[in-house]
Amino acid sequence: MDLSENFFALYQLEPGFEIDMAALKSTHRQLQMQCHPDKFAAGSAQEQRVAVQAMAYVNQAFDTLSVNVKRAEYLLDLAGIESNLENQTHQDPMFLMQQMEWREELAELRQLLSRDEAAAESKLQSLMSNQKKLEKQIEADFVRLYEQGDYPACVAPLAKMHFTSKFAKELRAAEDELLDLD
Amino acid sequence: MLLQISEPGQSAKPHERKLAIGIDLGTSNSVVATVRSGEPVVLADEQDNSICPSLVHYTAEGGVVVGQAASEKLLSDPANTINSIKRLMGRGVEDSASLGQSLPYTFTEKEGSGVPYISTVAGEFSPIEISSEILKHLAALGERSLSSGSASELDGAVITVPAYFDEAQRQATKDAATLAGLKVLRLLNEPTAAAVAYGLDKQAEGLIAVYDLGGGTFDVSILRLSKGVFEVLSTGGDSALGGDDFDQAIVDWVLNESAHAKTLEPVEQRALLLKARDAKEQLAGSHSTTIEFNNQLFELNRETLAEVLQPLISRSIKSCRRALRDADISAEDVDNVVLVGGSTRTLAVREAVANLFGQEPLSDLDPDRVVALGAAIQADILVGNKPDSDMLLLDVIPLSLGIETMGGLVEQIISRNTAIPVAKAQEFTTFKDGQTAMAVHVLQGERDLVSACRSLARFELRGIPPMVAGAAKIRVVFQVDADGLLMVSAEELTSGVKTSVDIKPSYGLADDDISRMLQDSFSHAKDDMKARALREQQVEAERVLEALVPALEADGDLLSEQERQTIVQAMEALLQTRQSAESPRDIEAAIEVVAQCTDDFAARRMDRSIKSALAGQNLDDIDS
Repeated sequence: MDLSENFFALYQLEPGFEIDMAALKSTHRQLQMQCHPDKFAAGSAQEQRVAVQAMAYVNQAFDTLSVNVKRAEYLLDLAGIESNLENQTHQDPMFLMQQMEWREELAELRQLLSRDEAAAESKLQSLMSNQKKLEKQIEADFVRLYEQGDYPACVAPLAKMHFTSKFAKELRAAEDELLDLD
Repeated sequence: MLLQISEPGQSAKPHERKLAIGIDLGTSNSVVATVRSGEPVVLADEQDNSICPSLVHYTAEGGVVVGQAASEKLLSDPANTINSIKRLMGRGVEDSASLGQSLPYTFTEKEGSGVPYISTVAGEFSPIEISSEILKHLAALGERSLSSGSASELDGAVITVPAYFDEAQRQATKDAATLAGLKVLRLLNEPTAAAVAYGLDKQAEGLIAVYDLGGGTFDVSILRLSKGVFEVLSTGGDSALGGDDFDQAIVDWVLNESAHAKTLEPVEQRALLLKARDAKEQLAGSHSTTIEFNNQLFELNRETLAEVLQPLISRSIKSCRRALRDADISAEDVDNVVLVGGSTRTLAVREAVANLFGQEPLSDLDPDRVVALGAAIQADILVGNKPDSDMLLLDVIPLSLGIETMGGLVEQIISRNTAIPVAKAQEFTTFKDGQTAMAVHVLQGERDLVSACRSLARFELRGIPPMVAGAAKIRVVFQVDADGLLMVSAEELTSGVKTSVDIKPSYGLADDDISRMLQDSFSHAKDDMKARALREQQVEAERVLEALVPALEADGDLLSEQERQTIVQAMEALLQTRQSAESPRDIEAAIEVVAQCTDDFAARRMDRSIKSALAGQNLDDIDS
């Protein structure tokens, strides 16, 4: 579907990492009102098919723009940089150390889950706050390099963003288990 | 020349009110409602029953009895009286075997289908066929009360499903509706329907929690409302927790108190379950009651009931916590709590919910009718009776979709709580030289292991051009529509060959099964089936033409003169065929021709409507 050449243009936003979330959401509302298949529920099969495709495209665009790591990846995509993330993080020994440390702490947290709920809770909180801190730093790196126009160099912070967001997911999974203990 | 399309008798008059119903297809009870003079009302049968027990009784003569009339057979003929069929919808043979232990039915498996069939004196029936009997019954009730004497057809129905239903269960529900001859406007989540019934859409904005404890399923949904748009932020629940389990817990308590052997004959089991249910219902109004069993009287009071039910209720509260977490909000953020389902009449349930959310839940509307009322309101809007309504109910996919990879692992393709409709593409390649086919296994669930997820479908990609291993690039697109139903298409990118996708639903019915069942149900009246198929195609032809006439008027400038000519010719051919054709296939073919030459036009129109809507928004921004 040729809705627009890129997601930023569809949402009438300047391409960039920092975006106006409120504007993104309000435009999304407009788009939903326009192309949701429910607006064509009494219509022909063709109208419904077109609406499903349009809405799926719009939802994909919204998902890409609203999630930081996906938006960063998409920006590099638009800049023609293939962000093949294999082996990227290994070029930064400091970050590699950090990853290993966190993995160990996560393993410790998992063990605590069955033994000491309060200790698990406090470890989880500290890991979560560290994760957020690091995420902010990496995002700032990405923005700096992106604004300098050094797109190939952006791949490294993007790879780190992938790690931190994956780590955040694992922390959430641990939080899930904590909730189940109640 | 196109004016004749809107002449009376050839298509619906633009302001004619359409007949639409909302159906709450419940585990224990089902309800049908409609909007009459702007107000949603529940429809009752001749005996003034508005709550229809979800019971189907098969007689030796091949007859089918549904609802209240079937309830008399529950005790006298349990093996031929099917109860709680919703629990088996979209389930496989293995699930049914484990669920079936407490059920008095005989299950059989039809070869290769994977779907459990229930043996009755009238033959073997799948859960989809049994459900469709309930839907037919409710649709007939709707038609009778709506048509006011003159024969009239329903234009569409909204059918509710638990928010927790996976793809196979939703597909099974839609198949049942198709089999019952209903046009499904939308499968709507039960909690969303309940929120709509309470008119919460009239508030400017807010967060709503819907706690729905029905006969057989528990759902909790967190909805966000803003400017008429309902958004499901998260859903959770338990597809095997409900009032039936409460009744069973009470039965277990009685058996425990009486030190009776745990195994009861089916008839005894049913009788005691009914007594347990009565006692539970009485305790909603009084403080204590008695249950008679084995010539002994057992006193049950509210405190004991609360203790007996505590493990079940706390399972539901845990699901609520998880749903709140998934929605990224805390219990205090919730503005309204809505209670749905007969089991929320139990005092201990209300207390637990009020305690969690720190507020009294809404319960003014009958918790057994509230879902059907909301479904009716939505059906009225979707069928087109309220063109100015700006209500929009947005949904998310309740469980992640993924595919099987090496080593029995699942790779997620679309994750839980993603807004639908959604489409995701995945690229595959071949691992052997000259490989021309590959198998794809689609699963739904949150776990990493194939064995822990629900198998939805297996399909084969065929016709891949022979190449060296790893050279083929097969792009598979998984598309989930607004009802949460999955469609898969595939293309080999290097050659552009569209590979055939042959989906075999693991627990559902293939299209062939559906048409066979349709044929079976019309086996004594072949003409009926043909007449119905013809009527369906005629209606679809009307929809196509009705949509195109104003479209050409409004956006005809998007077409070249030649394109316009082609479209007009195809439309005239369709109009001709619609009036004269005796075979539904001829009309279908003519519709296909129109669809093919208007696909681009439809896409261009969507593009334009989006751009003009956004342009309008910008003007508003400047004004404010």
